[in-house]
Amino acid sequence: MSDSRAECGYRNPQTKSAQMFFILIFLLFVNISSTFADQYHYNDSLIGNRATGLAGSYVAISDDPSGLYYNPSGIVYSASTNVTANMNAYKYARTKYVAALTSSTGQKVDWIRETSGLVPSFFGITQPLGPGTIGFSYAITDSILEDQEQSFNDIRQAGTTYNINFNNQDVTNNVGPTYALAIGDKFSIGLTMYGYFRNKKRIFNQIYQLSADGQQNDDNIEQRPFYISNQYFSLDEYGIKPILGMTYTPVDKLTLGFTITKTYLLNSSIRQQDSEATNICYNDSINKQERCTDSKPTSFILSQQAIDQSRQFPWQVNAGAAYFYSNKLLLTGSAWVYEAINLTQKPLINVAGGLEYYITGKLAIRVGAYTNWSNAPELVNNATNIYNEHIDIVGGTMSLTHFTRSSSISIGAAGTYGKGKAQITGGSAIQDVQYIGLSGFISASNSF
Amino acid sequence: MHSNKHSLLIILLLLIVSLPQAALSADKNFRLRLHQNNADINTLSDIDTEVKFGKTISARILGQFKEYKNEGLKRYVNLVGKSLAMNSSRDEIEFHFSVLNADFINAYSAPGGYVFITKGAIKAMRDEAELAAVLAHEVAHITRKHIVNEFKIKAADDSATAGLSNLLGSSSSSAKVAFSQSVDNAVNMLINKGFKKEEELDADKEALLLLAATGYDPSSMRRYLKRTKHIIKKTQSRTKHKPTHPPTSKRIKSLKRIAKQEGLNRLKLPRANARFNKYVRL
Amino acid sequence: MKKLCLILALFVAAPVTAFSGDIMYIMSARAKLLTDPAFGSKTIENVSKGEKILAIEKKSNWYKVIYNEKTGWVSRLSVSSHPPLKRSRRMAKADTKLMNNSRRRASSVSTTAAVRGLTDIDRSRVSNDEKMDYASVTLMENYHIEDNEIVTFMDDIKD
Repeated sequence: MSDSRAECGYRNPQTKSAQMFFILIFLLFVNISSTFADQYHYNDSLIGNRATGLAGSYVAISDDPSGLYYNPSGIVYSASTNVTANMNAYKYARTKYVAALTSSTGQKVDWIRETSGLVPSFFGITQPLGPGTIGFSYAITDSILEDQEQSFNDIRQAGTTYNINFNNQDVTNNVGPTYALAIGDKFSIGLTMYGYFRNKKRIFNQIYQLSADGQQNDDNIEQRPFYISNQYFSLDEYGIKPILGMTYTPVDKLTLGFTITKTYLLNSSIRQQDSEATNICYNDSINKQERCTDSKPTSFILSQQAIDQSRQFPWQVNAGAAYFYSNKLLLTGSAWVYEAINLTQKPLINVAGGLEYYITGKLAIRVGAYTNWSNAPELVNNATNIYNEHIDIVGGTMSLTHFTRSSSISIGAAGTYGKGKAQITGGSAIQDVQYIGLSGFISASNSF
Repeated sequence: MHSNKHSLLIILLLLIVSLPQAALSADKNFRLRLHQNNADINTLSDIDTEVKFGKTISARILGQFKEYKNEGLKRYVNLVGKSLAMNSSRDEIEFHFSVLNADFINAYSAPGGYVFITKGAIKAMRDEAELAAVLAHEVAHITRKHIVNEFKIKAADDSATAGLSNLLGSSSSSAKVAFSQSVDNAVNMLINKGFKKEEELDADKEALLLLAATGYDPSSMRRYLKRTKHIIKKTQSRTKHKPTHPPTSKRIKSLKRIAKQEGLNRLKLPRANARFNKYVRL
Repeated sequence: MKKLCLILALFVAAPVTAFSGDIMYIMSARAKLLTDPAFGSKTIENVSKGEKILAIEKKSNWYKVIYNEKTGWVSRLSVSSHPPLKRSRRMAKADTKLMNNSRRRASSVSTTAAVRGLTDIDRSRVSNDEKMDYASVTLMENYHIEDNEIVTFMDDIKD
């Protein structure tokens, strides 16, 4: 019962203070990594049933409403004059940060983030208008729904509890019209003008509590060291995303597609509120004194961020080919090239390929594979990396469609696997990351 | 290295050889997938739908103009018309022909096989080949499915898949209907659909081929149009609506060109003048 | 490399063999296999409706086909890639209910726009909704002529 307790709270002047200094930086700092969630990947979305089955390698086909997103010029080649299509997907993804936390016995503990939810991801309609074809669609290109509560014991020190409540919603909508025109027999051109809308909200609460030095005495409960953090972050962006597309048919059965697009942000507003409270004293080695933070929580609010500080969108070019071998078999391949922006040191390239085969006149199967590389540079050891995540992902898709006279129904699945590195606990520790994504979808199409 | 070069050469040769061959079956429809090929098939219920549609139109026409009561002429016109139908690709439809009691020159066709020709039109004819020409033009509209395609006349799709598809929201939203209707209205207001003129030229072309296939002199169409040109022009100027047919002179030119292309000028096919005069006493 | 070339060659050669012929069907009641792609050329054989033929070449409005081990040309008008349907005789029924189980495009179009004529049609003449004569249509439908009579008539086309 020492009376050397400082006013600000519990402290053990000897060995524990040194340890306490390090405690804070072993908590999770999700701040940086998810401010602009998934700015690290460009190929997250698969839109429309046929395109999804073909792993997104659709730029040279695009002859149905999914084409409104992948290559607007393709819709002039639609077999039916009026078509509608939609897609609903159930998405699940799990990111595991290996050994992100350390237990009191020195054991490493993984931190897992999971997102899951049912999302209507696409709706599109096309019909002829004048000399060309008009269309309208909305595509939800990004949808993250993380909602988890986790509890860890004995992180860093025996007798600690570490509770996390993490809620992160991030949805990106693209909505808008399309017009496309055939020029001669072999060439077509089209433009989709999407309005881009993104809405993100993240609430992240952490409570880290040290037990009283082995004591079970509850008299000291208010003296127990603790760390509380509450973060609220909300982001609203809107802009336009024009997609210009072209299709060229050099010879019979072979088509080449090309699109170029870029998202232009018109407005971006951020609201942020961070609160923090702790009574843990730490050793300020700079001023050579022990410091205790005030027990009152500190907070700051930030609103309205200038656009040039917000996310940069690269120019994106997609080129591909499709070979309509027969009315049963279709092969396709494509590549995306993304301009290098501040995140990357060189342009990023993703590829995809797919195959569609009609088992009967009423049943078709599609398979495909694609890459979704990270656009962040590789993490550097023993340094604070500004872009603190680099996960390279590959994916495989499969779908089955049943056709009748004027409608079709598809079911399918996409599986993705990623591996990489992250730096999410502050300091210079780097974690291995494993990523698994699985989505199942059901989609329908109607022509009239 | 040599073997590689040879292999590449073989591939290139095969590629060159295969491409024109591939053009046979696909033409510009290589994009059509197997289910879409099948969707083109006319089922019996599609034909039922087409006939019902045409029946209503025919009822309107016959309500407006009475049939010209002459058994002999009725039989004769039906014989000529059904001869043409026999050589067309839509033998699954039964074609019916009727003479209207009207003095102006015109002929009508409705989907499902209903063809009407006015008394006045027959009066201006000189031989059976000319009658066949006019009927062939109308039959061609039906065999080429101009209206069926324009109005998407098809039997309803009441399969389970279609029902489930509607349930999933791909086609049931009123927004969809509103969208297409407003587009249609916009089109009707702003843009004059020129495709009808193409349809007429298409029907003219098809008629020529049908005439030749049946055994009639194909030049009869041109002759008839030339002779009735001034009368038709008078009718056109009287109507308030924008003409859906290309000008007669353009049609005649087009007919001349097609006849030359198909080598029809070389044919010496009969006009059945004598038989025409025997049955047609107008 | 050699193996790859061989595979590629097969891949390319496949279309060559695959499209050396398309099965088609005779659709018209009277179709003729001719020596040349022109009306008026000599008839090799008469082909009946429903017969299968193998189309190996297309030239303008003609198909070069193999039928019954003979090679010749048939007119585009006579063939289709789908087999013919059985013709149905319309029952004489005044069916005033338009398309109770069928569907067409949801747009505001009147059936008068669906009339096709030889020359321009004075729309006002055919737009009067009150005068509908289904009875006459039924009579028109019931007027039949036997196929052999039509054939006899057709064979007798002469100047």
